[in-house]
Amino acid sequence: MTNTAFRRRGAVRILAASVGFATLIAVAGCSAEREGEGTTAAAEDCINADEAQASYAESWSSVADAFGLTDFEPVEEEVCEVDATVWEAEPKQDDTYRIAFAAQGPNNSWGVLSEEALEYHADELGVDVLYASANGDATTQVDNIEQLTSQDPDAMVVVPMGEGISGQVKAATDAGIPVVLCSGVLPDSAGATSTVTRQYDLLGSAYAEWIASQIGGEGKVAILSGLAGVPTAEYQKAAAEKTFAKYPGIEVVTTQYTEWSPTVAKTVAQNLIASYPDLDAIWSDSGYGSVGVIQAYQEAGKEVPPITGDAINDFIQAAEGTDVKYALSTFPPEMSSTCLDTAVDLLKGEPVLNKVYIDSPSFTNEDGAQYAREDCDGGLLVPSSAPEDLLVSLGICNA
Amino acid sequence: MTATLAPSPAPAPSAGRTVRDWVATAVRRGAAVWVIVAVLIVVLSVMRGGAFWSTGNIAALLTSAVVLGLVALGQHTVILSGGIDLSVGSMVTITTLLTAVLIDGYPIRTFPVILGMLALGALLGTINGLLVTKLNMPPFIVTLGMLYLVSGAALWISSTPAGQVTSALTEFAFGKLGPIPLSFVVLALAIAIIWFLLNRTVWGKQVFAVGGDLHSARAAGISTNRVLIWVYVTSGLLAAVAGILLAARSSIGSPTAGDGLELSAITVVVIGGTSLLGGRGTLLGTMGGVALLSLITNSITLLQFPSTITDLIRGVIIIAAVAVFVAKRRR
Amino acid sequence: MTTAPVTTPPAPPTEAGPGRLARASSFIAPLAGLVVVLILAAITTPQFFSFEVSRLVLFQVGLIGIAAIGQTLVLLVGGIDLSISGVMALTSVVLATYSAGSDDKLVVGIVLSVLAGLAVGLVNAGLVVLRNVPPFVATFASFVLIQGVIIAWTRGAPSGDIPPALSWLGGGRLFDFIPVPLIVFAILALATGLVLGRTTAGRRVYATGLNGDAARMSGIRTGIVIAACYLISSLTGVLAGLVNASFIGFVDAALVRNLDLDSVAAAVIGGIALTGGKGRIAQTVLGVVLLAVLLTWLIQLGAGGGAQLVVSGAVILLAVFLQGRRFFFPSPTTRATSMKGKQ
Repeated sequence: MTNTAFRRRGAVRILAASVGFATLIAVAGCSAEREGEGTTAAAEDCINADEAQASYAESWSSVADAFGLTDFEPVEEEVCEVDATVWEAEPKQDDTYRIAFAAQGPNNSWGVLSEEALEYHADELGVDVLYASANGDATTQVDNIEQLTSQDPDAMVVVPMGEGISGQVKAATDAGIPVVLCSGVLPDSAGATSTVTRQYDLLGSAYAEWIASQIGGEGKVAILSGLAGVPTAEYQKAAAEKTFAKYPGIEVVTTQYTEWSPTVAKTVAQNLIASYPDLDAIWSDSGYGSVGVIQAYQEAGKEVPPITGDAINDFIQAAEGTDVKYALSTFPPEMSSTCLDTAVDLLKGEPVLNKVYIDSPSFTNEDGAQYAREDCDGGLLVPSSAPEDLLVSLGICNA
Repeated sequence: MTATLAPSPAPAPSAGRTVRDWVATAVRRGAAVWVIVAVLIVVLSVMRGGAFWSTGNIAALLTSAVVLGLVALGQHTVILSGGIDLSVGSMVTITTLLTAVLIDGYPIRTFPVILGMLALGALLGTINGLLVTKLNMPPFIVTLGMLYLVSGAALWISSTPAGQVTSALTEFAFGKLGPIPLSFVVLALAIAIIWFLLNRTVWGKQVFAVGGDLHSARAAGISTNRVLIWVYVTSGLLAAVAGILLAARSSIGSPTAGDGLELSAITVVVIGGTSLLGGRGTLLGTMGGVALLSLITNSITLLQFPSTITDLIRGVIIIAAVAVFVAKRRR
Repeated sequence: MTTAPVTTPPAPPTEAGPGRLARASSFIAPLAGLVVVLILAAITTPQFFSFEVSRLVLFQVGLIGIAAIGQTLVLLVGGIDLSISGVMALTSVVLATYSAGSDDKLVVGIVLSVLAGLAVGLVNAGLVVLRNVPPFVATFASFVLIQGVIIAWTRGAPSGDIPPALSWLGGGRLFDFIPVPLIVFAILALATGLVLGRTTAGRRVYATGLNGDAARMSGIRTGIVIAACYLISSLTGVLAGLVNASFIGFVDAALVRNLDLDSVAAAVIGGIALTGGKGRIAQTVLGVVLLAVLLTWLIQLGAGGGAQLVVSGAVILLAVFLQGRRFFFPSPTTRATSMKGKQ
């Protein structure tokens, strides 16, 4: 009996304590100064701002042209030239540059091509690569960057797995290693030297605008996002939701996650067909997901609503010969070679932008068929600017 | 009753038998896994000595062991008691996320939020413990359900990385005591405390007794429920400490920060020779498991293995360690 | 300790519960859960009982159920098989790589998949039976290893087509309503139920799971029984993998990394004890149906990722709580010693 009483008291004590602490936090939140406010970099030291800004606007207008969008304004972004003299350096060891590469890891075909393209280009440039794989996980990447920094490379290219690595990136640049972010962004506070990427905002809102124009700004739309909690998926989804919110006539009837798996996407799509037979369009962030969607609609004998996604080979082939309306763009993995160029240029003291926005082909069903590659793997993002012999040596394409 | 606690009679000595006994003892004491760790260190020293022993790399190696080490300490205690805690990863996630979201850059909130997170860890642990003891549900199910519930709650709080910790926390995460990272000092302290609790207190003896044989422990007058609840509270608390340190390192909270940690933690505990049936195991072994896993990751980068075979290497080493070093189920 | 005389023969399955009433009561919890979810679904998503959605539920039942049968067998002998989703992924990769989408190579491709599955089952069985490794760890280790093998072998990008001749398995329907996977699951469940309930082999499975030492002493070669269960589990993994692969028609690389616990969840929700020796296939079937209804309802509801996890967690906890049984993981030793205590 006493035991039970004691036990109960123990549990009650812990409960009471946590309630107490919760109150404490609430009280503390009322009156305080916040750190890190008002420290955004001033525009005054922006070198060659106009020229740099134009290159940014170009990446947006090319998508607008391809999708036939008339009113597509870039989100505000300040692009400058990096002060070239700061990072110019001789190789620290021997006479070749050693570039650390904190990669995503080969956990999908995008990751494989991303790192293979960089290694291939490193051979061409004659620089050494020090590689670490994050296996798609930000926590692992935190360790990777710390370890790579400790090897004192000349520069570092990071494919960011999440904002959680900001502190380590800052530590690396503080240690005198220029860091080029590749295929992703971090907050300015991370202090990366340059960022080379294609914008998630751009993709997410361009797909949404195209859908709006297809359905005349009115109708029921389903959002198929990738993986809950993963920045790549969540940022694109947020941009889409923001765009759809501009159109009072568009109703987002459901938001689902496909885990970037055609199998999951097909199951979800079968459910959509059953519950929303009058769906007007499907916003999807991935071609993998969209393949499953097409299958589901075709098997149900229904017309596929206008759909978006990234331009994977499988999707274009699945849509070939049908009258499916689609808009595709890519987040090309081979942009990693540009990332490497940027890092090497920094070391050589050549002019580099603080934000390099990659432009890649966008297209709709009207001119999509020409991009299908019968000789290549279904997961390849097309058109690929990766060297043909690399694609063949990786077994992605037939010789 | 007493018979079950007495050691089994020694087998007749013979040459082959002694070697096997010696290996079995090494496994039981947790020394076996350290042999592999030592071999790996020698290999790394020979192949990439300079890079491996650089202070930066050692610091990175030690830091990378902290989160897994803390979580494994909690897991070790739970497994000793005959249970299992699948919810540790999700508890790390939610405390990481909430630390960053609640502090949100306000220095004045740092301390209360840290206390609050510790309380949250303890609370989640208490719930695990109460469900296991009072409702007599299997720990595997209780903590699996908790894993889903807490991960779901984390995603509900924020589906994208969010919040911001204060510079005080960040400085702590990057701080060093000589060559030793401060966060590793936290792990060392935690190891010392858990070692003391398990080996020098009545509660520790009770944990071993409950894990060895719940019914005889109860019959012997141990308040088994109380012991078990505190075991889960310990695990929750340690997960919260890990979560706070992870937030400090990342400076931001992520809703997927602790994914998969529970399986890594169970793996290192088992590789360290602790019996999943409870009642037997050493901290030395578990920490050896943590060292092994951290070293594997470190060495894969150091030796620059081709990326596509790193998973294979990890898999082969784990399965080999499991096959050779895991404590036998029956005596 | 090992010499404790055990005079009672291993318990036949009918004695798993105290009596017929108890046996009936073990169905009540999942059944009640099913009714509750169905009512909730009817209120929140009225289209749930339409022809199309019911068909989707039935398909899900088949998809989850096939692997759940193998999982149940392993659970009954006191094990657990975390490698089952790895086997499913391996199956699709082996079949696609070998056949390259050609119907002519389908049969050999399937044979190779089965061999690969058996190899995984053998590794699991070897670790568990010969090395006495705890099943949880042994099968998790082989899951990690399978992932490593697939990634090294396909250089990180598993892909390829499944022969179209197989598409009836994942996509076919009887009378345009009953999905083929459901039929496969039903046959499997029926066969397994009969073997477990009516044959010596079945009694041996229960005896091994309830009390390994006692079973061994009464002459059952428990090692072989346990090994057989792991092998069968891997084979159901192969079958589930074939269904999955033919459903989509090519290798789904996203599934390779997925540690899918649906089969464990289904069995546990149905009331299969993790400690082994307790539970019937009918309970697994009930658990599978409940899980399939739940998953489909959550999609219909458009619940976000967070809500889905929360509901799954709550259902698992509630289902096991309602079963109100006394079990403790892991308990073979505690049960053995408590028996001795009585003597």
